[in-house]
Amino acid sequence: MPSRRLSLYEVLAESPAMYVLVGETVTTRQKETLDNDAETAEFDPASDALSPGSHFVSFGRGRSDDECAVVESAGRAREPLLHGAVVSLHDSLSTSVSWSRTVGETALTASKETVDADAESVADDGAFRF
Amino acid sequence: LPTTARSGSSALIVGCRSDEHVAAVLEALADRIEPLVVDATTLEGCDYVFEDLTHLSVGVGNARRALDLSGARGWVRRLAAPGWRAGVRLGSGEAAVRASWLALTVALASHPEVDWLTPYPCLVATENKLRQAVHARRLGIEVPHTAVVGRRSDIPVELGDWLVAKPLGPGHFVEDDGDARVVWAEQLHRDDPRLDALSGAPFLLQELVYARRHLRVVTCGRRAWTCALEADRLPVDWRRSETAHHDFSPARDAEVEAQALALAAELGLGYSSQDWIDTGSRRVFIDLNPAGQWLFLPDPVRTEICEAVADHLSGAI
Repeated sequence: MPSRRLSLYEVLAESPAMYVLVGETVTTRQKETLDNDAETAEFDPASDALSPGSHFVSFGRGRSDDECAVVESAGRAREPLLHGAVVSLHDSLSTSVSWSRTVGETALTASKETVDADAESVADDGAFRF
Repeated sequence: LPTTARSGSSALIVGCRSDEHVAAVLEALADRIEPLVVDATTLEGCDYVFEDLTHLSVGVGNARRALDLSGARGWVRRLAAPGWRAGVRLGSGEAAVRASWLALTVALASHPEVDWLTPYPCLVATENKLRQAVHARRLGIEVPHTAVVGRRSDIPVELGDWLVAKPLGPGHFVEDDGDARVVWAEQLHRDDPRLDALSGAPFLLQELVYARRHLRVVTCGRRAWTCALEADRLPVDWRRSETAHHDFSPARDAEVEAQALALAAELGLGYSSQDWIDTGSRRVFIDLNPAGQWLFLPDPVRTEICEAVADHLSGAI
């Protein structure tokens, strides 16, 4: 019998416990600029390295559909994002998250949040909300 | 069975009392009727008789409750408890045993003389997202441009550069080592090399529709409720955000509710839990779950839906 080909099930599947969390936010950082010319903000990898785990990358006021975020991390391809995303990182070294916006006049606000990977998971009861 | 030990019922819930949705509906029915509640899991653990293709009694020893399926009202929540078949090897003796319990449960859940909120065959057939989209379009409801292809190079240009991939089969599964895995709807660029895996299993590909708000529209009988979730800061698949489940707010939308009710009727669904996107100028149907959850929605919506299911079971509607 021929071996089964790789499917998107294997490629896209995630552990629900990683994302379906009821846990507390243990780290919240926020940067904001009112300077419309400063269209790019970036965490300094040396001082703001992200820890391994899940990180929710979000955008604040003024976000519109034609904005494009870029998430970078060492050894990973650049991933353009049109909406907020949950990013899973396994290596905290030399990892940075940056984003830029191309339109809008209100303050650029971005944040990164780390959720506690040890937080209580609601996945174990099988109560996926589909 | 001694007649005195039997108590009758007029309604059947296929599900388990420990299921939170079943419990909520039973609470809504508390002053009206007491339905019989059975699923494959409970049948396996009690005494039961199903005779003459219409008479069902379930209980322990002589303390059984009886139901004449002819003329009864019913609601199918689920056939068995979650994980009831987890770890059972396909083709094994244990699989045959579980299949037998399910066969009995399916026979009850699809009994033609019961007035079901949603007949089981309709419920099963409507799990198919492609079928949902076909019927929605037939009614003139806007759906995202959709394709299923076996090669990345065959993705139609009409889907745009950014698209959403979602499973046509189940959205979750269990690995051989017992680890649960979930497959969310995922935003991908058409050049993303991960799409080479399209050849391994058919996945639904849809154009990316930018959401201003996500709408959860629940229909029950002739009633519909809309709740809205601001899409800002949320991933394409809002379900992967735990907090999003608690951020819906009631938002009546007569237009989308009329379309949702028409789609439910088209598919033969007495109950449906539908996902729509509000782009700010358009309402786009995404998909539906014929047995989807509603208790995460805010009051009064959640209570009114419980009452509506209870109304069906008690014959109030």
